[in-house]
Amino acid sequence: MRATNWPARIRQFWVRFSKNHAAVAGLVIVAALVAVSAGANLIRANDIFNINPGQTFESPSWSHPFGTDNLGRDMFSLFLYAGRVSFEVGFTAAAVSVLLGTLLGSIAGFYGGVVDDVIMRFTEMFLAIPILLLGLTILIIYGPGLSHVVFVIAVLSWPVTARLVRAEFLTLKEREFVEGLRAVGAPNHVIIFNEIMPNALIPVIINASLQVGAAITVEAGLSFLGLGDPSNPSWGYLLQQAQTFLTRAWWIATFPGIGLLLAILSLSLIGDGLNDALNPRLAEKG
Amino acid sequence: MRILAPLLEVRAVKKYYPLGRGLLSISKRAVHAVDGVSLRLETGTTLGLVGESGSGKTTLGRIIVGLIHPTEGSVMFEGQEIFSLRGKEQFSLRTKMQIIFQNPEASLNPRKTVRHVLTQPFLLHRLATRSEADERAYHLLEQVKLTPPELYLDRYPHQLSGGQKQRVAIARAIALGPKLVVADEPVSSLDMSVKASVLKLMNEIQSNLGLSYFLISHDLYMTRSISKIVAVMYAGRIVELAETDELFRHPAHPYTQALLASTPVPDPAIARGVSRNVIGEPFSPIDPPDYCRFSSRCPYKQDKCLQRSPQLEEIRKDHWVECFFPL
Amino acid sequence: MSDSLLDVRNLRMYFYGSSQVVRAVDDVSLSVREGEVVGIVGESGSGKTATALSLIRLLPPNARIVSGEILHKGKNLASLEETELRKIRGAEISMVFQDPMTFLDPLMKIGDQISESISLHQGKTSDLKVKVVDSLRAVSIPSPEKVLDYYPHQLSGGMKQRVLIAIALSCEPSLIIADEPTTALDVTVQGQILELLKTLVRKRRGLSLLLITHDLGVVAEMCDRVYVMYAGKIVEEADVSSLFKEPKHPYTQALLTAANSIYFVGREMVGIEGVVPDLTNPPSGCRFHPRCQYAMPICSEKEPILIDIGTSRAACWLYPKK
Repeated sequence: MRATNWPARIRQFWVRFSKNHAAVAGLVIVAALVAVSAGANLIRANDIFNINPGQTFESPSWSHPFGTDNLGRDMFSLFLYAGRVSFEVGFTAAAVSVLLGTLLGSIAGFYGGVVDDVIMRFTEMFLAIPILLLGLTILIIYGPGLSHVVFVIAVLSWPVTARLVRAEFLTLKEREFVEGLRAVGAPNHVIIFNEIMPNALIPVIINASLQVGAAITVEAGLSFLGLGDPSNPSWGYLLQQAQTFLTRAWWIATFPGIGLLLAILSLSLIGDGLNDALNPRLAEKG
Repeated sequence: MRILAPLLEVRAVKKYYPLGRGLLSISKRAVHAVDGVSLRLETGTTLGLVGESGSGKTTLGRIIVGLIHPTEGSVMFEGQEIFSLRGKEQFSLRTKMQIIFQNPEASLNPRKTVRHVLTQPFLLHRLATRSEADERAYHLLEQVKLTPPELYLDRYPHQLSGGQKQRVAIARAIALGPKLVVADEPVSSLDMSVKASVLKLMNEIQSNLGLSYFLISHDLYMTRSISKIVAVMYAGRIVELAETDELFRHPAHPYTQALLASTPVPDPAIARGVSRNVIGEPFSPIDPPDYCRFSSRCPYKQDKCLQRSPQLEEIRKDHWVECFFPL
Repeated sequence: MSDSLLDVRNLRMYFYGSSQVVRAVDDVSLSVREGEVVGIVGESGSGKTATALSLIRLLPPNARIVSGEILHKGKNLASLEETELRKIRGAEISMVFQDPMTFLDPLMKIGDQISESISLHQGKTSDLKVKVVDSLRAVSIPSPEKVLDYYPHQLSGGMKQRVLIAIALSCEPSLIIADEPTTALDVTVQGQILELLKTLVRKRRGLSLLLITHDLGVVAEMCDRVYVMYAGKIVEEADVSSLFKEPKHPYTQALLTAANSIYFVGREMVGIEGVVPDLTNPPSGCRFHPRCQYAMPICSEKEPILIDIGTSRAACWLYPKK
């Protein structure tokens, strides 16, 4: 008889979320982009590294909806594969950064004092580092590679989450229910992770959707500066490759650009919708 | 003729909050929240601690259950100094002392069900399996008159009224069979019609379980209805302490009198006859003066009151007052 | 009643949510006469604050006055243009709130806030500063010349509430609506503020006070006449001594019994069972019937209206209509 009313809560969430039409559109677009890139193999069997010297710079047609590039590769296949790379980087980097940020932020906020001081000074240090500059340095030293890119983005973006979570914890730990838990003898790890954390997660979730978009942007930026991984081309990498042919073949740059734009815009719309649906202060009125 | 130690004994407790923290701070200024309080409480009785905001009553309550460490002094529970306990002993002390808070909105975790709140104490202390804990939670709800319990077990706090939340908080507090419950303004945020029911419930629980209450309140009258002994606190110190009837019949400290005169009583015949004589503002709790702290508001102050600080003295049997010129 | 300063007739004010309507004020009629202290007493969710805010239409965007009249000196405030209403707010009718900081600007000196309020309604005059000092003196603020230069945070809660009353008085209104003016204050300070309000009404000719409170003690001390509200409706109206001596409506009786059981020794503690009804879907008939110990079949079927019972009026089926 453990009736957790999850279905009801999810339905309620969806009712609120779906009121924000832009957010629903964003969700549809992201879902579509993720789905087609994940299913790239099924949709397009063309090997993306298949060079066709006879078909270079073909403009979009039925057989090549997004045209071909300077090596005669099918841009549609490339678009799908690159989308997969971009999303992979975006989601993994955001996940790592949110996890790291949540952990450090909650500890800083909960314990306060010296622990807080140390963690927060550390956080500020990271916030002060220009993300592209450090990214460039690391990638130049260690060479391009997807995992390096993910690492760079994650390490440089956790402070945002950490500060958010810390702020939540600072107010939540003052609430009387926390003292009540201490009074019944609940140990700190139970109080932090089982009790306070569920209350602090809403801003984290909202922020996470923005972090994914931000990570995709940074990855694109790094690739565009020539630090992309040629064996794992992303949308940013495609853009970088397309630079030389901008006047000759508009389609090479246009489609990856649209992909990036749509992905980032949609993710931020989703963030907006999540805010509407989850923010208790806004939800009250609904 | 007391052989056994009292249930609770507070000895000369002080809590100062220094102003301006940091390595380079040389300021010695501090907020004197609690400034030398001694009290004792016997098993099965209720002590009402009355004071206004800033009197230090809430801090004192938190110190008694060990949530705040005092700057000086000690708190003895069943003869043991609670702040010297470590590890297992400290953990098991948690089953003997509990606390109820003023604001039922904040005292329950908004994301946890009543079932979670009420089973957790048993699970934390490994006193029951999950299904046994469920069973106990069910009985606790019956004890606080939230019946039928099935109706409430899986509710979240926002699905409960203020009075119901406070009943859940009381259920959590009595879950582990404590000997002492500190109740910090347990009914002051509730509606009048609910206040009376919750106080009645607290009385019933006390007679059923034989526990003691340390009841903190700003409302002298509310305290009277449930306490055996009343202590009046002002600016970090106990200024008057007596059995409830005695205190109401012969209030001896000017502040106690002022409190009694200021509370509007629900009877026009009485309420319109009162005259109020308390004027002025309290001293800042930052480095209070070394003379009588009520002197800034006392209509009866004399030169002596501005020279030295009075001490708690027994003016009649078991009636203690901290005033040079008790009334 | 021709000598009414304020006459509210059949006022309904609803809050509109996305899927439901909260009927916060539901067919409320009340009046305030010149020089009178009238209380609206009720517990949380009774609609007492919503009623007060409706009177000067200080309402959030999702609230609407659905029907009814608010007559003040021949004008119907319920249908008045916003610009016209603004001239009345503060000048003719002013408000004192529970939390002074919802009204005071934390970054503005006390003196400036008062003079702003005065010049808004009376225009800038040369003796503005004198008027400001006078208004502070009127609410017994010690050394008003000094307080002029204070910021709100430098004042205690009681002093802030005095400043708020000074602002409310500064334009010589005919009516002050005070919504729980002392609830946030300490007991001893509450006493001082009540004393002040009482003296003001007694001294200033033509000033009336509408006091919104949950505290029967405050009612007993302050009011001449009282309206008891429950779940958006007025269930009883009486002069203060009748109300406490012979409460008519079962809700008033139960509320008084609860209060008396706390304030006077030797009585058994009695609360009211059940919870305050949900105003999106209030009970049929009399809204108190699910919690009423005298409930009869008719109580859930038909809504009682206020009828005269001696000097009081109550809406209850216990009293046969003559």
